[in-house]
Amino acid sequence: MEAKKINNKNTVSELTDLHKEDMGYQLPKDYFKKSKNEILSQVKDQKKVISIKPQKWMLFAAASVVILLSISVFNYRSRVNNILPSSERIAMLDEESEALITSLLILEEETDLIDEYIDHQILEGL
Amino acid sequence: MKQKETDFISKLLSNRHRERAFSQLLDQYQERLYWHIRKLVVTHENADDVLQNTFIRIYKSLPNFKQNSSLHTWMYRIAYNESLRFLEKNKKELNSSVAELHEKHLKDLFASEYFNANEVTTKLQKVLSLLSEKERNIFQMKYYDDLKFREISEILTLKEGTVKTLYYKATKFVETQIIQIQLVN
Repeated sequence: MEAKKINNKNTVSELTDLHKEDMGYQLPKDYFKKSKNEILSQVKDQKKVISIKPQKWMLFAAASVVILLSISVFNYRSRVNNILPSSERIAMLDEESEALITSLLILEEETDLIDEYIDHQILEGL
Repeated sequence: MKQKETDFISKLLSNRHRERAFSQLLDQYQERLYWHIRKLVVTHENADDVLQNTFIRIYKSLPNFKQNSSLHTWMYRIAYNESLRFLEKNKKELNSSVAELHEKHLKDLFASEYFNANEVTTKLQKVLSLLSEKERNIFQMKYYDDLKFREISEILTLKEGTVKTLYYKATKFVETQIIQIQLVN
């Protein structure tokens, strides 16, 4: 046992020999090569997860857009309510309902295209 | 040496060089850390799991590495902590003590295809299992991993003096046991 003692200067293969001979530990063939590839591919997966995670500034930007949109919609509705007579307001509401129904009936392929566009925009942005 | 390590760490942290540097890190440390882990968790299957978790944790934690210790010691510490985490989880699942768990792992090892069961190796494993967990870990880190007492004390968060005392105690015990086995044979 004493004669085989290694230090940091020795090669790692000697370390493997020491453990095999002294302690009886065995390994599958080419274990370290395969394990290295597996670790590297797992690390790449980790990187993907990390890169898709939104940054703080993106959350702030998204929140600002939502707030601005809400304010402009609110202002627009108040103006319409104040200016237009009730019959025209009903007509406008009808138009809005129609737009809503149309958006619900949009084809699935079309929404896929929209999603694809959004994904592309997000990934390009990162 | 210190400058070389600092440069290497910078590469590990840079987007441009990270992948290549991490591959080099694996070349340098994968085998060392595997054997360090294997002695703690005993079977190859366990060591394989823990080794992967260790390198993923190293990769994720690199931006937080404060360089208060060497990269070498820091990585051994992560490997040690990952092994303990694995053993703790195993202990809870099997509802057993540390000693019972080690005994179970030894049984698994002796039955495994990744163990060369001969008289010497089986007896050495049994002698090591008679040491306390702390003594066994210190003995193995010093004798097989060839870590310095200071490094072991940093990894185990123990005083260097305590590590030395426990190592000499463990060495004496192992020697006595081996002599007894030789006398019997």
